[in-house]
Amino acid sequence: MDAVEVRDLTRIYLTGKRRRSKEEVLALDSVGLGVETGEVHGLLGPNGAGKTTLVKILSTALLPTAGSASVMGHDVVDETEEVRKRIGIVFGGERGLYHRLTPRRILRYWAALYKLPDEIGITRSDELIERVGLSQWADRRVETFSRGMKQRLHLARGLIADPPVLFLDEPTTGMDPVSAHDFRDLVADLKAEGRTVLLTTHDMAEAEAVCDRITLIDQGTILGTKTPKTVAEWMGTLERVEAEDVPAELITRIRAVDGVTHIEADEGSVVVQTNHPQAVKDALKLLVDGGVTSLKTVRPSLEEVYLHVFGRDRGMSV
Amino acid sequence: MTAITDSLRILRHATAFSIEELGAIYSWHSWAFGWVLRVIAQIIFYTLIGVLVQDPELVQFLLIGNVTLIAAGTAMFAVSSTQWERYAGTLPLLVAAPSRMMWVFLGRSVHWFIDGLATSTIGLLVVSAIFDVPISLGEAMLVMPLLLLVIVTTYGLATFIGAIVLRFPDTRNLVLNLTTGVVAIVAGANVPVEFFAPPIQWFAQIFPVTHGIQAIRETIDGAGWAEIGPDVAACAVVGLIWITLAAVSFERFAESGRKDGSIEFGD
Amino acid sequence: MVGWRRQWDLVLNTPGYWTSILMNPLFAVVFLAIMSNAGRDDLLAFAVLAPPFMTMWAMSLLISGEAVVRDREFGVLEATLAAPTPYGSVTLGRIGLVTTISMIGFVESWLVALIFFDPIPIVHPLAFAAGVVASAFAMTGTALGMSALFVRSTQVRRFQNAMSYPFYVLGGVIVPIEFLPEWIQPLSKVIFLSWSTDLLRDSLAVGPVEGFWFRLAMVVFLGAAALAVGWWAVGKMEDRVRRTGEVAFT
Repeated sequence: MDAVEVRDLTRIYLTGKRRRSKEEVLALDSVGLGVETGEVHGLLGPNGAGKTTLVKILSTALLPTAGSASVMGHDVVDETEEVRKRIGIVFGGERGLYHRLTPRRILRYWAALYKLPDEIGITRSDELIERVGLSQWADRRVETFSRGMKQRLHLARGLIADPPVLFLDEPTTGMDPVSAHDFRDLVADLKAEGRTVLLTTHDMAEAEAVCDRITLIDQGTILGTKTPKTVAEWMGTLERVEAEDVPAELITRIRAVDGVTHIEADEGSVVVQTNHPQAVKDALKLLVDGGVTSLKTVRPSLEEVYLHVFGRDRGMSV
Repeated sequence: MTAITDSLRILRHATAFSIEELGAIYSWHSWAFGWVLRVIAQIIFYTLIGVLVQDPELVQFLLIGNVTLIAAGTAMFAVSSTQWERYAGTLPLLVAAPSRMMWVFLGRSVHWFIDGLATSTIGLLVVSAIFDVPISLGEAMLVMPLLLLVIVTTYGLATFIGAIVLRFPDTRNLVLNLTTGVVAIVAGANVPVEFFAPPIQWFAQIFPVTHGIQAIRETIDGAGWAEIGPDVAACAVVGLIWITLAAVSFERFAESGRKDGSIEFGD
Repeated sequence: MVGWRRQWDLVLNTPGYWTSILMNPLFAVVFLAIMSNAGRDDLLAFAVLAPPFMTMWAMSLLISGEAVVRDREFGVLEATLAAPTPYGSVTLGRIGLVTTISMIGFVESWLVALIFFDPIPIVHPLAFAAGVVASAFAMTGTALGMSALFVRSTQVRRFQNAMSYPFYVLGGVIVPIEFLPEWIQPLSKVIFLSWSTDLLRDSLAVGPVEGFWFRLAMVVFLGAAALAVGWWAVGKMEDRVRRTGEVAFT
């Protein structure tokens, strides 16, 4: 049995303030997805792709328009209580915390909402505070916390009921690189404990680093499920090189490199597009040997990958 | 049995949480020298009208009425503090938790009980001393449980309004103020309920405070339980109806939010 | 007077202002009902005049704090203070606008009396009009003075909340200050409200308005004094911000 099963799931929103002028927006279009028990599954897509809508339905905060979904074998529409007991939800960002309260109070309160007896609520709150490294701040108000501390508290909150399934919705949004790195270790720990994790993100590098499998989603449609290796290859393949003060003669030589697809040159500043990792290496070597010192490689954006791999131009296909 | 234990536990934790929150909203200093002073000034403001009219009975009438309005008005703040849940972005998390959200909402604004009871009692003692209104400490002690009754029952009304306003959070202060204003007119605090036309008198009965003020006036006048009892009962029943409606409204809010997607993640 | 358009948007988008305007008739009903129930129709004019003063006071204080609160929330308070446009004139413009709008309260209150109770004749229309205009000026000046206080405070909301009824009592908004204990009356005399409310009550009463010019001058003088102090304090703060980059919080 998959921990999460999604079949032909569709969600239509009505937008617009006036009842008569309401417009239908298709947020999810017959989506299918299976998350195996114990895996870390990424849901990768740009903003507005439908990731959060899917997670909302799975966490019973939203009803589907059509189709079905289940978590640990329980239907998200008919067996909400069974689903709710088995899931933990973790948001990224500042929202979802009581800023005037302390972590200890917040966790005990949520423990009660998850129907844990006081003894368990108290010990588990203390354990989680310890685990996410907030012991020193357990009795300080959240309003004084840094972004990273709030994020750790979010995670502790999501774990209060010891759920077998965790939904992490853009958990590293706005996080500094060090915290984001720590976060990756935490996800690995969750997996080691045998939990199933569904993580939404628009960051390819993050998905590639922590996920066992990655499902690509765009405009409410699933484009496919890939391995992190494939995503890593895309990132490498579509890498581009940017350099300054490049002599015209050198530009001509780079243009001839196998795998270079396009060059934009403007008064010695150059952007080299490639379709192969070897082409990046070759172009870099030429530039360095040619005495160019101001240069860098840039990873492609998710939109660029979607355009090249799936031929989807988000600007055009709406 | 477990269901009751679970619900009571949530109520207890939400209450503890609201009391911790009260400590964050006010320091002792700002409560005593900001809020309590303002409340005392408000009661004085209305009671003074009795002095202007040179009618000692009116002085007492306005004093009792406005002390009770303070108690009710503080409970009405639950309209606002219900919305704090939206500002905190916790609504989707509450919906997705395996408990009914009404327990949270019924508990999360309980701190106003403490605030309302303390300010209205202090107001009663201080302002009656200022205006030489003969209210003994003993009478004040009898009035306190009635003030608490007004607060608890009005809290039912306030959480109901809070549940409705959750859908229109920007109107919270407007709704809160207008309700408080209407209550100040019709509930028998400043003029007897009978001053108005019968339809307005009937309308006044929907507010728990209308019955509570009546009970408090009778208590101060030394009436017996036979007279006070029915008003206390009416106050309690009306309050209970509002609390029930509030509970239903929170559940309906969660259900309609699941349908139309109005409960945003990060909202 | 800078940025009328922007100020207007700010007012329109702040529900708090409309709350005051909507509350005004409710207060009028409360006060009129008390007087009427006590059989004191001679005091209906007192009841009509109190709500507009409360509306004016509440709205002006709200705007003088609101801009500060918003600028601080967006973290631009220091920048606005340091900008070349004088903060005093920006604030004065928005307070003047709001105070002017709040004058609707007089009309609302008068209409409530007309519809539900008795019509209130304006016995001395010129004195009444002069009193209203002078009050609006004094309110604007006082609110500017307050804004200087608000800029220095991190607890604007609490301040605003605490400043309503104490001033309505001291300012004789419904009950003239001669009904207050004698020792407190000198304090009332420095609050323009006490002069304004007395003057307007007399303008609605049969009989001559005694000492009209002196009393009118007192309203204007107290308003001008508050304006001057506010202007000076805000200016000083601007200098400080330009030099040090921060506002001192006290």
